Amino acid sequence: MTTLAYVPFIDALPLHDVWYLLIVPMSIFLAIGYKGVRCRDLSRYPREVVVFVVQILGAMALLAIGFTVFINYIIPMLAPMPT
Amino acid sequence: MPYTLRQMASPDPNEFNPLAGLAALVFPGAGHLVLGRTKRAVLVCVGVMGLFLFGLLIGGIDAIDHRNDKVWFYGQILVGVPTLAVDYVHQNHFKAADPNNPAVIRSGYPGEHRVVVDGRPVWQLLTPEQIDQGMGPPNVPGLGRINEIAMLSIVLAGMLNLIVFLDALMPTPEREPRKSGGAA
Repeated sequence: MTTLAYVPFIDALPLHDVWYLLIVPMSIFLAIGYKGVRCRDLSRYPREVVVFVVQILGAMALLAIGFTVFINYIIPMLAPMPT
Repeated sequence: MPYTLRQMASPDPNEFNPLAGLAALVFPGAGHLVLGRTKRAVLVCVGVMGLFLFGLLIGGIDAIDHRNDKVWFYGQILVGVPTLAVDYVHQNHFKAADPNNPAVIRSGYPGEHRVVVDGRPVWQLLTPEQIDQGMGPPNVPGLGRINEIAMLSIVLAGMLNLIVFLDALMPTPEREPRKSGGAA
Protein backbone atom coordinates (compact mmCIF):
# COMPACT_ATOMS: atom_id res chain seq x y z
CA MET A 1 0.00 0.00 0.00
CA THR A 2 1.24 3.48 -0.81
CA THR A 3 0.03 6.49 1.13
CA LEU A 4 -0.03 10.04 -0.13
CA ALA A 5 2.37 11.60 2.40
CA TYR A 6 5.02 13.90 0.97
CA VAL A 7 8.36 12.17 0.39
CA PRO A 8 11.37 14.44 -0.34
CA PHE A 9 13.06 13.84 -3.72
CA ILE A 10 10.18 11.55 -4.75
CA ASP A 11 7.18 13.89 -4.76
CA ALA A 12 7.07 17.35 -6.30
CA LEU A 13 6.85 20.38 -4.04
CA PRO A 14 3.81 22.68 -4.47
CA LEU A 15 5.78 25.87 -5.17
CA HIS A 16 3.67 27.27 -8.01
CA ASP A 17 3.17 30.63 -6.26
CA VAL A 18 6.87 31.25 -5.65
CA TRP A 19 8.37 29.73 -8.79
CA TYR A 20 10.34 32.89 -9.62
CA LEU A 21 12.28 32.61 -6.34
CA LEU A 22 13.70 29.24 -7.39
CA ILE A 23 16.25 31.07 -9.54
CA VAL A 24 18.11 32.15 -6.38
CA PRO A 25 19.31 28.70 -5.17
CA MET A 26 19.84 27.63 -8.78
CA SER A 27 22.13 30.58 -9.48
CA ILE A 28 24.01 30.00 -6.20
CA PHE A 29 24.73 26.34 -7.02
CA LEU A 30 25.64 27.30 -10.60
CA ALA A 31 28.10 29.92 -9.36
CA ILE A 32 29.63 27.52 -6.82
CA GLY A 33 30.29 24.89 -9.51
CA TYR A 34 31.30 27.25 -12.32
CA LYS A 35 33.71 29.31 -10.24
CA GLY A 36 35.13 26.08 -8.80
CA VAL A 37 36.50 25.45 -12.29
CA ARG A 38 37.02 28.93 -13.71
CA CYS A 39 38.33 30.84 -10.70
CA ARG A 40 42.10 31.14 -11.18
CA ASP A 41 42.98 32.06 -7.61
CA LEU A 42 40.91 30.17 -5.04
CA SER A 43 41.63 32.81 -2.40
CA ARG A 44 39.28 35.06 -4.42
CA TYR A 45 36.69 32.30 -4.82
CA PRO A 46 33.99 33.50 -2.34
CA ARG A 47 34.02 37.03 -3.79
CA GLU A 48 33.81 35.74 -7.37
CA VAL A 49 30.88 33.47 -6.46
CA VAL A 50 28.96 36.37 -4.90
CA VAL A 51 29.68 38.62 -7.89
CA PHE A 52 28.55 35.90 -10.33
CA VAL A 53 25.29 35.31 -8.41
CA VAL A 54 24.57 39.04 -8.41
CA GLN A 55 25.34 39.21 -12.14
CA ILE A 56 22.93 36.35 -12.91
CA LEU A 57 20.12 37.75 -10.77
CA GLY A 58 20.70 41.28 -12.05
CA ALA A 59 20.66 40.17 -15.67
CA MET A 60 17.46 38.17 -15.13
CA ALA A 61 15.81 41.12 -13.36
CA LEU A 62 16.78 43.44 -16.22
CA LEU A 63 15.41 40.95 -18.76
CA ALA A 64 12.15 40.74 -16.81
CA ILE A 65 11.85 44.54 -16.67
CA GLY A 66 12.69 44.83 -20.38
CA PHE A 67 10.11 42.26 -21.43
CA THR A 68 7.48 43.81 -19.15
CA VAL A 69 8.02 47.25 -20.69
CA PHE A 70 8.09 45.80 -24.21
CA ILE A 71 4.90 43.78 -23.84
CA ASN A 72 2.85 46.16 -21.69
CA TYR A 73 3.87 49.52 -23.20
CA ILE A 74 5.74 49.29 -26.51
CA ILE A 75 3.60 46.68 -28.25
CA PRO A 76 0.32 48.50 -27.38
CA MET A 77 1.88 51.68 -28.81
CA LEU A 78 2.96 49.96 -32.02
CA ALA A 79 -0.23 47.97 -32.50
CA PRO A 80 -3.07 49.49 -30.47
CA MET A 81 -6.05 47.24 -29.85
CA PRO A 82 -9.33 48.52 -31.33
CA THR A 83 -11.64 49.76 -28.59
CA MET B 1 58.54 1.55 -6.33
CA PRO B 2 54.73 1.39 -6.62
CA TYR B 3 52.96 4.34 -8.21
CA THR B 4 49.94 6.02 -6.64
CA LEU B 5 46.71 6.42 -8.63
CA ARG B 6 47.39 10.14 -8.90
CA GLN B 7 50.87 9.57 -10.35
CA MET B 8 49.53 7.12 -12.91
CA ALA B 9 46.58 9.32 -13.82
CA SER B 10 48.28 12.65 -13.87
CA PRO B 11 52.02 12.74 -14.32
CA ASP B 12 51.60 16.39 -15.25
CA PRO B 13 48.26 17.99 -14.33
CA ASN B 14 48.47 20.37 -17.28
CA GLU B 15 48.43 17.73 -20.01
CA PHE B 16 45.57 15.99 -21.78
CA ASN B 17 44.22 13.50 -19.25
CA PRO B 18 41.60 11.02 -20.52
CA LEU B 19 41.31 9.21 -17.17
CA ALA B 20 40.37 12.45 -15.42
CA GLY B 21 37.88 13.20 -18.21
CA LEU B 22 36.31 9.77 -17.85
CA ALA B 23 36.09 10.15 -14.07
CA ALA B 24 34.42 13.55 -14.50
CA LEU B 25 31.77 11.95 -16.69
CA VAL B 26 31.12 9.18 -14.16
CA PHE B 27 30.61 11.44 -11.14
CA PRO B 28 30.85 15.23 -10.79
CA GLY B 29 34.17 16.26 -9.26
CA ALA B 30 35.83 12.86 -9.66
CA GLY B 31 37.93 14.16 -12.57
CA HIS B 32 39.50 16.90 -10.47
CA LEU B 33 40.02 14.39 -7.68
CA VAL B 34 42.04 12.27 -10.10
CA LEU B 35 44.03 15.39 -11.02
CA GLY B 36 44.80 15.93 -7.34
CA ARG B 37 42.81 19.16 -7.19
CA THR B 38 40.78 18.16 -4.16
CA LYS B 39 39.41 21.59 -3.28
CA ARG B 40 38.13 22.21 -6.79
CA ALA B 41 36.67 18.70 -6.85
CA VAL B 42 34.65 19.42 -3.72
CA LEU B 43 33.44 22.79 -5.04
CA VAL B 44 32.44 21.29 -8.38
CA CYS B 45 30.66 18.40 -6.68
CA VAL B 46 28.72 20.78 -4.45
CA GLY B 47 27.71 22.91 -7.45
CA VAL B 48 26.69 20.12 -9.82
CA MET B 49 25.10 17.84 -7.24
CA GLY B 50 23.44 20.84 -5.60
CA LEU B 51 21.68 21.70 -8.87
CA PHE B 52 20.87 18.02 -9.41
CA LEU B 53 19.40 17.46 -5.93
CA PHE B 54 17.59 20.80 -5.99
CA GLY B 55 15.85 19.74 -9.20
CA LEU B 56 14.87 16.43 -7.63
CA LEU B 57 13.70 18.18 -4.46
CA ILE B 58 11.28 20.53 -6.22
CA GLY B 59 10.18 18.27 -9.08
CA GLY B 60 10.40 14.84 -7.49
CA ILE B 61 11.72 11.75 -9.16
CA ASP B 62 9.53 12.51 -12.19
CA ALA B 63 12.01 15.26 -13.18
CA ILE B 64 14.21 12.57 -14.75
CA ASP B 65 12.41 10.43 -17.30
CA HIS B 66 14.13 9.13 -20.43
CA ARG B 67 10.81 7.94 -21.89
CA ASN B 68 8.59 10.99 -21.52
CA ASP B 69 11.17 13.78 -21.43
CA LYS B 70 13.73 12.46 -23.89
CA VAL B 71 15.18 15.80 -25.03
CA TRP B 72 15.61 17.02 -21.44
CA PHE B 73 17.22 13.68 -20.60
CA TYR B 74 19.96 14.26 -23.20
CA GLY B 75 21.10 17.26 -21.13
CA GLN B 76 20.54 15.55 -17.79
CA ILE B 77 22.65 12.51 -18.73
CA LEU B 78 25.75 14.74 -18.68
CA VAL B 79 25.64 14.59 -14.87
CA GLY B 80 26.67 10.94 -15.21
CA VAL B 81 25.85 8.00 -12.97
CA PRO B 82 23.45 9.91 -10.65
CA THR B 83 21.09 10.59 -13.57
CA LEU B 84 21.23 6.99 -14.76
CA ALA B 85 20.58 5.68 -11.25
CA VAL B 86 17.58 7.95 -10.64
CA ASP B 87 16.13 7.16 -14.06
CA TYR B 88 16.53 3.43 -13.43
CA VAL B 89 14.70 3.66 -10.10
CA HIS B 90 12.00 5.85 -11.65
CA GLN B 91 11.34 3.50 -14.57
CA ASN B 92 11.44 0.29 -12.51
CA HIS B 93 9.86 1.24 -9.20
CA PHE B 94 7.50 4.15 -9.91
CA LYS B 95 6.02 3.34 -13.33
CA ALA B 96 3.65 0.60 -14.39
CA ALA B 97 1.57 -0.54 -17.34
CA ASP B 98 -1.69 1.15 -18.26
CA PRO B 99 -4.54 -1.29 -17.43
CA ASN B 100 -6.31 -0.53 -20.73
CA ASN B 101 -3.18 -0.60 -22.88
CA PRO B 102 -0.46 -2.78 -21.32
CA ALA B 103 2.10 -1.64 -23.89
CA VAL B 104 2.03 1.87 -22.39
CA ILE B 105 4.28 2.31 -19.34
CA ARG B 106 3.38 5.46 -17.45
CA SER B 107 3.28 7.25 -14.11
CA GLY B 108 0.27 6.74 -11.87
CA TYR B 109 -2.80 8.96 -11.85
CA PRO B 110 -4.58 10.02 -8.67
CA GLY B 111 -6.93 7.18 -7.68
CA GLU B 112 -4.57 4.43 -8.85
CA HIS B 113 -2.03 2.30 -7.10
CA ARG B 114 0.79 0.11 -8.32
CA VAL B 115 0.36 -3.67 -8.07
CA VAL B 116 2.49 -6.46 -9.50
CA VAL B 117 0.52 -9.01 -11.51
CA ASP B 118 2.42 -12.01 -12.89
CA GLY B 119 5.70 -10.24 -12.25
CA ARG B 120 4.63 -7.15 -14.18
CA PRO B 121 3.66 -3.84 -12.51
CA VAL B 122 0.21 -2.57 -13.48
CA TRP B 123 -1.90 0.41 -12.36
CA GLN B 124 -5.05 -0.61 -10.56
CA LEU B 125 -7.99 1.65 -9.77
CA LEU B 126 -8.64 2.29 -6.10
CA THR B 127 -12.02 2.19 -4.43
CA PRO B 128 -13.28 5.39 -2.74
CA GLU B 129 -12.64 3.75 0.63
CA GLN B 130 -9.01 3.06 -0.27
CA ILE B 131 -8.57 6.65 -1.47
CA ASP B 132 -10.04 7.89 1.82
CA GLN B 133 -7.45 5.76 3.61
CA GLY B 134 -4.73 7.75 1.83
CA MET B 135 -3.72 5.21 -0.80
CA GLY B 136 -2.47 6.41 -4.15
CA PRO B 137 0.37 6.22 -6.66
CA PRO B 138 3.93 5.96 -5.25
CA ASN B 139 4.86 9.50 -6.28
CA VAL B 140 3.24 12.85 -7.03
CA PRO B 141 4.67 14.14 -10.33
CA GLY B 142 5.49 17.80 -10.82
CA LEU B 143 3.23 19.73 -13.15
CA GLY B 144 3.57 22.82 -15.29
CA ARG B 145 6.19 25.39 -14.43
CA ILE B 146 7.54 23.51 -11.38
CA ASN B 147 8.22 20.45 -13.51
CA GLU B 148 9.98 22.60 -16.13
CA ILE B 149 12.16 24.36 -13.53
CA ALA B 150 13.06 21.03 -11.91
CA MET B 151 14.10 19.53 -15.27
CA LEU B 152 15.95 22.74 -16.15
CA SER B 153 17.90 22.62 -12.88
CA ILE B 154 19.11 19.09 -13.65
CA VAL B 155 19.94 20.04 -17.25
CA LEU B 156 21.96 22.98 -15.88
CA ALA B 157 23.78 20.49 -13.66
CA GLY B 158 24.57 18.46 -16.79
CA MET B 159 25.78 21.50 -18.74
CA LEU B 160 27.94 22.55 -15.79
CA ASN B 161 29.40 19.06 -15.61
CA LEU B 162 30.27 19.32 -19.31
CA ILE B 163 32.43 22.36 -18.51
CA VAL B 164 33.93 20.45 -15.58
CA PHE B 165 34.61 17.46 -17.86
CA LEU B 166 36.45 19.65 -20.38
CA ASP B 167 38.50 21.24 -17.61
CA ALA B 168 39.43 17.83 -16.20
CA LEU B 169 40.25 16.48 -19.66
CA MET B 170 42.46 19.41 -20.62
CA PRO B 171 43.49 21.18 -17.39
CA THR B 172 45.05 24.56 -17.96
CA PRO B 173 48.15 25.53 -15.99
CA GLU B 174 47.22 29.10 -15.13
CA ARG B 175 44.09 28.08 -13.21
CA GLU B 176 46.06 26.48 -10.41
CA PRO B 177 49.29 28.43 -9.91
CA ARG B 178 52.17 26.35 -8.73
CA LYS B 179 53.48 27.09 -5.27
CA SER B 180 56.97 28.59 -5.33
CA GLY B 181 59.63 27.85 -2.80
CA GLY B 182 58.59 24.24 -2.24
CA ALA B 183 60.80 21.18 -2.22
CA ALA B 184 62.21 20.27 -5.63
